[in-house]
Amino acid sequence: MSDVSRALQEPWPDLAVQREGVHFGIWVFLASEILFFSGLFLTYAVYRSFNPQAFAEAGRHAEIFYGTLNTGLLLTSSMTMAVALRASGARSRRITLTALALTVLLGLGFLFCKGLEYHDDLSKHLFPGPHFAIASPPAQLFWSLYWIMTGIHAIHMSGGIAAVVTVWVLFWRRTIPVQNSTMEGVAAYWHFVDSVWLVLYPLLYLVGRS
Amino acid sequence: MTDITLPFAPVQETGQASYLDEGHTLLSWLTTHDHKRIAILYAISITLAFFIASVAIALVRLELLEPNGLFLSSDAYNRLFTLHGIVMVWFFLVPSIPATMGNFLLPMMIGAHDVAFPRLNLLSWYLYVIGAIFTIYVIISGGVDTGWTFYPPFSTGFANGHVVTAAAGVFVVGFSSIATGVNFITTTHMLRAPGMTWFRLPLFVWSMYAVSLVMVLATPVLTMSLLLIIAERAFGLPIFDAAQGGDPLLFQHLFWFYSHPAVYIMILPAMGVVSEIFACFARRQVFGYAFMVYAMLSIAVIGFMVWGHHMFVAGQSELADLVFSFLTFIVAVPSAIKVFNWTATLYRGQISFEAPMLYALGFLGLFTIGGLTGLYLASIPIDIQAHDTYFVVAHFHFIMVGASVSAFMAGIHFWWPKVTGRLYHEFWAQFAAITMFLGFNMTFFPQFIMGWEGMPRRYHYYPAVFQIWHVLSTAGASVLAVAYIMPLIYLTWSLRSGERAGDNPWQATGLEWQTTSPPPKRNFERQPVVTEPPYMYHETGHPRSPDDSRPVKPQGNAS
Amino acid sequence: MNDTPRHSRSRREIWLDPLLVWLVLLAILAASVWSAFLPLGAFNPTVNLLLAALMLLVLATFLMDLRNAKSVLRLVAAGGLLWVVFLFALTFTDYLSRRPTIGPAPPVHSSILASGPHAV
Repeated sequence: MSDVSRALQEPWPDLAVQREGVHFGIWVFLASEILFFSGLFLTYAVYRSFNPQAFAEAGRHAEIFYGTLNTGLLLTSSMTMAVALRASGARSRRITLTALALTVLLGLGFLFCKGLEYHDDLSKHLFPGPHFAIASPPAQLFWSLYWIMTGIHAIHMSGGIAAVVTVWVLFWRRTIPVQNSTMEGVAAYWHFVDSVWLVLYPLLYLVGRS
Repeated sequence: MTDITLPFAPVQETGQASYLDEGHTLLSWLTTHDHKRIAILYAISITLAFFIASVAIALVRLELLEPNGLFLSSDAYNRLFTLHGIVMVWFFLVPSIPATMGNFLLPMMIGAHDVAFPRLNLLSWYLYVIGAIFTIYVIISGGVDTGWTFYPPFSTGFANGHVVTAAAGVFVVGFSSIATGVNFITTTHMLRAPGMTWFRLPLFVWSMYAVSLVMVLATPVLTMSLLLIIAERAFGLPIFDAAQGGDPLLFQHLFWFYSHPAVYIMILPAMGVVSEIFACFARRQVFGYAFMVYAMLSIAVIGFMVWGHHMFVAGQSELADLVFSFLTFIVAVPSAIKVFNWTATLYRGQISFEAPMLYALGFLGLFTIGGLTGLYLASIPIDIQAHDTYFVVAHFHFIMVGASVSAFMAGIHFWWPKVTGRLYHEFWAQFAAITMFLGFNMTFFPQFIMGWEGMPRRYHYYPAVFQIWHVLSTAGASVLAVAYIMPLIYLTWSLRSGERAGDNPWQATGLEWQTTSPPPKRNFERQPVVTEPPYMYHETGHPRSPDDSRPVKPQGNAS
Repeated sequence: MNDTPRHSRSRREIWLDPLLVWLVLLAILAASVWSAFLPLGAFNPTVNLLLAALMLLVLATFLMDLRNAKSVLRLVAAGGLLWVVFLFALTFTDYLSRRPTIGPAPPVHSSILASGPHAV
């Protein structure tokens, strides 16, 4: 079958092993990504455990509306990505393409809201430096971590969106068939980036609210 | 693209095309997906890196001939030893055996046609090159003087060099490591030939698997620690700034969480190489194969739990000091088990002293000394005396140079016939091996003595009482330099004029020896089937038989 | 290549399960936000992180299909998390047992270590 021959890559003996191999490889990569973000989470945990009041005060300035909206957008995008993966397994090209397009749109929506939020944060002088809005020094640590954590997450989101767009084009042009192992990798990565946000969200947006 | 015919493409006498015949242009090399060609690309790159870092430290060693310096400013001195550390660790030692021998041999040893993700493999080399370009830029524009460890607050607030660029270069090359690790782990899990069960894998394959686990899990934390340095220095975001409530020691926790496992990245492949060589040149099965496997995996895992021994005097709590010290003593045990097993492998073997074996024997002794001195440093009272002295410098050079580089050289010589299809000149190789051993000891043993006497590391000027040791060390370094240049000469010569090698000049048992030298592009003519455990040399050792009257049992066959 | 959808039963499999999981995730999110505003004191971060962990578990199990994955994959995921535990546990061994740097010096009766953290 011509689709199988186009999908099979060196050095895999057959398509089933290739799918399994790609899935496995992506998970090994995700393990490394977990460690990558854990460095940040460790830094946050250490500083928060030593400065609970300053972190609570700093956290109150975070925009919970944007944060929660973004969380909702990402969860929805994970749903559409899961639909795309299942559709690709069922060899349903049209549903796969639609679901992937929706995922991209939701991802772009996330980045757009993030941009609006960053603009608001900057106008409230929440970037650490000489004109920082909050008096206590450890609050600068919270906000440094905010910018770094959300910034790195946004870079990963952008990478994910670029990957999904690339895959969408490859499927649309029928360069590779949709049941290819590529979907496995892209989907796993997307869910991972979403998962990172699910940890970031309470750490950055739900601090000091009570 | 110009049609450059590279000068060492051998013409196969059998008429079968080898991987070297598949395209002779530069472009065919730069766009290859063949793991064997990527291994050679890496080999050339890391050799260049080795020489750059060696020149840097040669200048340092010359400068240290006089207590008050000779020709370098203190600033230049600091930048040179920093350069030496950064380039040697990340651009030579970490990739050395995995990216060259691992890339070339792992698929062959398990009977596969290539690694799991060939394009990712090529990408990993390009990431190395991009990281190297960052570093070359740093060198050209004056360097960085923080030491390879980038400690804040110096690196974030006070250093005058190109800290951000240097950190960015290491950041990029870290992804090369992770890509290689992901590839090797997936390859080992998914692409073993029929009959190649986990406990029939050669120990070199196990070492590649163990080192890949470490690369994948440790490197990301380094990446994050450097990112935080860049964020603080370039964007003014306080993370480690004590004035804002930050803790500089937190950087050290993140940095050493990677950098201690990194030293296991540097030694585990060496252990894998020498296991192959001892078995072949003593003509014996490796003693205690299963324990050798468990030992490597234990080193990989426990090695993640000892990083605080770099921070005993940095302000870590006493409880943490004790926990890390205890775990460091524990991690020595699997290494010791391996040393005992190698020795037992040699016992009653029919040992021959070709160059790979000479290098491997050197490894055995030097690794033992390096490892034992590591135990001294694991003990907190001794470490308080020895921290930041030349004792530590000598300890890690005994492991990284005495052990790892010796094993690298051993592997290069052992597999040279397979990779190039040529035999090197044995006499000059043995001469170089012995010269290296003598030069190495003369360079680094005096450093133990002066370190214990109190000579601090990274110092430009020093009290005159230490001069004799510095002079001895520099003299040794010049001998070592000769010993490293010699292989460049005779190995390059062998590419053109060396005797042609047969498929299995060492009469070894691994799958890689059951195919032609050099191998064809897809490694094997037919899918190999594995029928034997590894190292089916005779139990009590028999010499290699020139007339094949006592053939060893190869691990499988592809014919 | 046949790209018309299969009959409706498998179509439901394609979108219904993810939709149900999505609703569950949104519910947990709402609970998390709501609990953040309750005065639970020191338990606020714990509750938030537990709910986040629950969302991760649901996502990983049902959307990332870890439920049906081979055991080696679950081992990889667990391994990554285990290493994070190593990182946190050993680092906090240091931080939770540090002496405060302000206050009276402890009596100097033992080793250098008793006099508190040194500068590097």
